[in-house]
Amino acid sequence: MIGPGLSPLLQAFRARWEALGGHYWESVSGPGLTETLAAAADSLIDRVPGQTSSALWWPGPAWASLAWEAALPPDRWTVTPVTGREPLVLSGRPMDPSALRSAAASAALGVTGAAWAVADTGSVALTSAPGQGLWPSLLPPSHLIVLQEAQVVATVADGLRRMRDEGPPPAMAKIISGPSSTADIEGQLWIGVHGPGRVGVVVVAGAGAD
Amino acid sequence: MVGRLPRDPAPWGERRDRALGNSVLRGNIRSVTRRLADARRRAYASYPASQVLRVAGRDAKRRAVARVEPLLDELRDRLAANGARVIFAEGPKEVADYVVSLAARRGAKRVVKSKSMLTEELDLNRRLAVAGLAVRETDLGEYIIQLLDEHPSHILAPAAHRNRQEIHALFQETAEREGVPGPTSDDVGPLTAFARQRLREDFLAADIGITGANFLVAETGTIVLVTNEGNADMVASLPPVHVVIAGIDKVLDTWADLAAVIQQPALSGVGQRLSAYTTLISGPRAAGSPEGPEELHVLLVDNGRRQLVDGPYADVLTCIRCGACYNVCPVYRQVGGHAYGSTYAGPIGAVETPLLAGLDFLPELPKSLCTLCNACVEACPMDIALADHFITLRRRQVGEGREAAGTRLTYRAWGRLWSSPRQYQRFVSWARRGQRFMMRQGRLVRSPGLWAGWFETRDMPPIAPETFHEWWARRAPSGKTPS
Repeated sequence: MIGPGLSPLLQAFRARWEALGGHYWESVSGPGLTETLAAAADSLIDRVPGQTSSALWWPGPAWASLAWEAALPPDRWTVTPVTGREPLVLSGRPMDPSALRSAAASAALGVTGAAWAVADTGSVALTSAPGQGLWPSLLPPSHLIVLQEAQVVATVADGLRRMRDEGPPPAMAKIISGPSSTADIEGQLWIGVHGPGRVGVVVVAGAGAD
Repeated sequence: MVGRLPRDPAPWGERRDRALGNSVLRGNIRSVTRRLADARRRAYASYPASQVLRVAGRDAKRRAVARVEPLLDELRDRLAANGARVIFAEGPKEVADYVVSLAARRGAKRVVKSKSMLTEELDLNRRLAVAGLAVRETDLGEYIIQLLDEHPSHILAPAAHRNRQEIHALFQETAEREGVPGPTSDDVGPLTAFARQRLREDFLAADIGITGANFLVAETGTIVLVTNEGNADMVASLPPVHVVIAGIDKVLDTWADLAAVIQQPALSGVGQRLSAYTTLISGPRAAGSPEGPEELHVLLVDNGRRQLVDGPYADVLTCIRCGACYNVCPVYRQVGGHAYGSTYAGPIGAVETPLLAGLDFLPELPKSLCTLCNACVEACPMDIALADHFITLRRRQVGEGREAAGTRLTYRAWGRLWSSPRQYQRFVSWARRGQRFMMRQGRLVRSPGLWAGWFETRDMPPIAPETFHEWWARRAPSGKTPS
């Protein structure tokens, strides 16, 4: 936890993200970050005693060197990393798309980076890019996002402008505002229908690795 | 080109009575509309930017409708450059034929869909099933009504007319048929978990994914999908082929216009500042990426829209399908969506349906399903002139002799009788003398002749012993009546 000096933008983001049901952590980069990530991962899943849980870690270029898996207790977690660009590398081998899909579909937790986040709506945007995919944010029941404080902008329009300034839009991008939800049965809100029912961010304070 | 829309073969009176006699439907529609209308009001009140955003979004949509043809050309070129195939389709048959031949070329059998009102309008599922394709709806509410072989009763909550017990029985039956464990109880959690499990298998096995589009951005060739469940993301990123089926009215000019309107479906629809998933697709899978479709097809559908672009009803094409007008409409809140008899219900449906499909198509919609209370006009984020359209459509129906002769003559005679003050006053004094035979507990409950029907479901206060006109005449010495 960082405490004082939190920017008003980040405070606003946090308030809205949490109001939507998102989980929130802060850290500075360094050893504190890997520990925070490991703790966040642990708290976002339902643990089955005696079984290991699997995480799909597809960080994208910005966090590729963040070796946080070491902070997870190996008797409780198996982490499948996706690294590289073309070709992608899945657990140390050239990626086979169907193996990646199965890994995403069976993982308890997906962990990704982010493109930008919006204070006004409590949203986080993710983009597909060479070396950065979206399945970990969709298929597992829980999703953890590593976000840099500098990626938080004020409004959706600011975020979209930032995306546009970087060139043509990617094949797919998505803006996530809270967990997957439905009110289709008798109007009762239910969390986690198709996408993740639990979403969390770890905000890395200060200047980012961008 | 007039569009073709599906219709319930039952006449209006039967549809109305069926709806009014269904207490589950009425109770559920009442609560879902109230909840959504309250959520929208709260969201607007607590969000300082709401009005500025709304007006900016409305203007972006209006600009786009005014330049729809050049924007569609730009969109087509941009999407093609991004690697998508773009097809202009006239109506239901062209769309279904395209999907069927695409499926044949790919050897595809299984189709997953996310919620799309346009494909309802095109009756696409039935057409694809006839061609031998297995189509699965994946929005939870749409999944429920697909299993029931019904149509949506609310634009945002398609299964709003069914309760938990009915859905539990349906899922039990489905589980038995498919040889899988059913939901463990009729609570929302187990019901949702059952659907998640069943549909997850469908997502992973599907050959083709079909979605609609909430917006299409010409400048960048971007398809925008808005959901809270995340099912559109599954449909768009898991199967090897993604087909987008969108009305030509979905096009926007610029990326900045998208920013202006992107929050509206959630803000005006369910009272959230943004939907849980807002997904922007600008092309098929990129080289080296395992995700997303190999082929992206975008069908831009007319089905009666183009004929409205240059006319007085063009603002109808700015509708973003948020459902805000449904939720405040006193008629919709009583009868729900099925009574409207086609795809679109509520005020926008009553106006748009005959505009798309021709004034002879369900002519009762503008005539009988609006009280001109103006609640929809206040709720519509796009400021569509719904009440004005109701009046013009009624005027056109009368002007073009679409009314029964008896009705026309009755209204003409009544109009003549009441348009002269003297005759009106004479009528009132006759009625006052006669009304004591028509009262119960101090209210007028019956009437002879032409007015009898009015009292079948209502009563009214009796005519006062002394009307204001009479009182005025008595106390003003000149005997002048107020004008």
